[in-house]
Amino acid sequence: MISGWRSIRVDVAAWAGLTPFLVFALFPFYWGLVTSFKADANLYDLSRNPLWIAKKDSSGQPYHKDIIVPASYREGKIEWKIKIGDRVTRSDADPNPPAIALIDGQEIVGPVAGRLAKINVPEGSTAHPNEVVGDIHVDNPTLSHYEFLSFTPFYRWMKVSLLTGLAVVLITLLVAVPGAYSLARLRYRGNRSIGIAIFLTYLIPPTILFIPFSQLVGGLHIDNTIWSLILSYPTFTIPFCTWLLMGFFRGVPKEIEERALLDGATRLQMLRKVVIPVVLPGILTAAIFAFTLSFQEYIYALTFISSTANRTLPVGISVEMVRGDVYFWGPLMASSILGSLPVVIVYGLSLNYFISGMTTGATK
Amino acid sequence: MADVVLDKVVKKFGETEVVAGIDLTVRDREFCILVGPSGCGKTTTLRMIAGLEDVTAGDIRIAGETVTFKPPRDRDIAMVFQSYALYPHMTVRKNLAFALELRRVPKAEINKRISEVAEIIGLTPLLDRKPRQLSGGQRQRVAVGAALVRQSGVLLFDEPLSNLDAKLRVHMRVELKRLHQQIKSTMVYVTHDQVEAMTMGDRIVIMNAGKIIQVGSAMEVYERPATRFVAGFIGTPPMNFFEGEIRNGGIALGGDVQVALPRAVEAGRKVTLGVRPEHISLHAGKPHAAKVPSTVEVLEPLGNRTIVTARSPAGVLQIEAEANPGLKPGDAIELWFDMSRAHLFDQASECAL
Repeated sequence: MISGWRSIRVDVAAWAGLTPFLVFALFPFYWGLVTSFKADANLYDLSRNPLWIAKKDSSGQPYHKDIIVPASYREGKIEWKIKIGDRVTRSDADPNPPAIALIDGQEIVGPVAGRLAKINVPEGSTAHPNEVVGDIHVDNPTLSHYEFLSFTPFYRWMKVSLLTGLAVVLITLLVAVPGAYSLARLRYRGNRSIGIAIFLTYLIPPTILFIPFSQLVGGLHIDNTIWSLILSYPTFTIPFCTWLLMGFFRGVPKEIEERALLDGATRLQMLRKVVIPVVLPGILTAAIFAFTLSFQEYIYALTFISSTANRTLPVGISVEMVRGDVYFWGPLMASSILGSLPVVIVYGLSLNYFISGMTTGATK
Repeated sequence: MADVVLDKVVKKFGETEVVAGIDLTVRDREFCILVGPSGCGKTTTLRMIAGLEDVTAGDIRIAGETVTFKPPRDRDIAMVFQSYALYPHMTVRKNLAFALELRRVPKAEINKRISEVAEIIGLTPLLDRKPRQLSGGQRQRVAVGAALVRQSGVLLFDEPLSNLDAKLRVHMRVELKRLHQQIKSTMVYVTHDQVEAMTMGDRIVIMNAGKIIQVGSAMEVYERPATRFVAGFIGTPPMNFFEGEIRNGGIALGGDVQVALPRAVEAGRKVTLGVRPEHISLHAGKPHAAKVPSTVEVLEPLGNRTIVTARSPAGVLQIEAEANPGLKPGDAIELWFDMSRAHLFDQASECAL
């Protein structure tokens, strides 16, 4: 009974200790998630709870947005295309946005997503430039930021990032697994110094390397292609994963390798049938790290790729969704949330392996 | 026929000579034990037989065929490792089948052999478990089983029982001995435990500092140790040693103790007298018994007998007395050395005289 209470107390203490870390770690995700569903008008409205999505503005009204006739338009008779209560879709990125009204044949498009709440200038009356012809109740929360993404190259960037990540993982494992095994297990001249040299290359920051690398990339005529990233990312994933895997290979008892040799295996069979299955958690850990490192890489992707279509996700988001000093906060956060999904999924699927991998590496 | 012949085998790690040119013939179907203190080269010798270590010089022949430079897989050898070396990602059945599958043994034959071996060593209910679901003793049995299914000519054991608790160790000792009587393999068994060496093997090879000191059956090495090292290594409690000099047809030990010798040795020679604890008595009466006055220091009752540690002018010694010797620490006693069973070693060469 006493031990039962003690274990409960230990649990409570552990959770009390861990909760601040959890809050600290999860807060950016929470902030991004909430922001990605907030109407723009709600973003800067600190009078309401900024931590949550407010239904009403400070005057107690639902958030609304005026429909203004552009200053450059001619005055003319207004012809409404929608009725009060109808949906207005966000049209700022749509190349062919649906019109909500026509003024002498000139289209008025929806500035935000919401519902038409009020018509100031009734059907057939004359509307003037700069006149407020109506009013939209803004959706809050809104999915419009996510809809906005389909009018940007977001999914294209996602594809580039995923493809790069997968190719980098493949190349990294092909080099790092045999490399780490040989450094960890085989005795040959200079294996210690090679190991240290590999570690040192990992210590050189990309901010120093990107200039010579961009020369190389240009010389190979692969600038502005995904190949520039697939070939340059392994320069930091391979050293990292090699060192990570060396620890795992060292943790494999020598005796089971020797037994495999006695059992009739060649060295390659021994690697394939015994060593690699045993260090699989480690290889998975290395794969996840390689994927994450390449998925979040910024500086090479920024400098080697200049066309919008070939950008990776992090660069695409930060370059294309910030125009000058205008931050598209909603779409920025929506794309950040969606962009973190692949990593979340990869981690989630392999969490058990990953943890056992980390602890095996730690204790042996 | 799977005899193992070591011919002037030398192993050096860099400048250090670990095995210093040993000659040994392990006969077909023999249970041969390599025993010695740690670092004596016994495990290295075994690993050279297995092909896991290169041989620096000399030759190894198995069943008449020189295998010195052959890889382990071509040597018809199975080995049980100290740490069991089970493949952690495979079930027991896969562990047993692994070597046979690599050698392309037909499936039906593999299954037949696995069920035979599983029956012999009591693994049948465990075949579908993974190694981590087994106890230490069960893992040990799987390791032995994996070596047995190979039906190889030579079976090597590298301190296979040292990770087991004392009770299980005694049990497995008997099991392995029984196994040896059932199967046709030659067994080479490495241990640092002289009790294992004494009880299990047909022949014991005692090694020290990379050399073979003595080869013989348990009783041979016990009764006729070739050197002081063997005499001290074999037997518990260990033999008592006293430094002395041959004088007046006897030995003058330290503290003016003089014991008579039943045989003649040249006078003036520096010798070490070795007497086993069971050959020292609290009672006079035997012929060739030499009297040594002593003081009782420690009593260790073992139930069927008592180990008495006593201090004599010649040095501290241990004797095996009856269960209730009626002594207490501090008692002055007279000890009687059975000199007909005593051993003499030359002090310089440490060889038996």
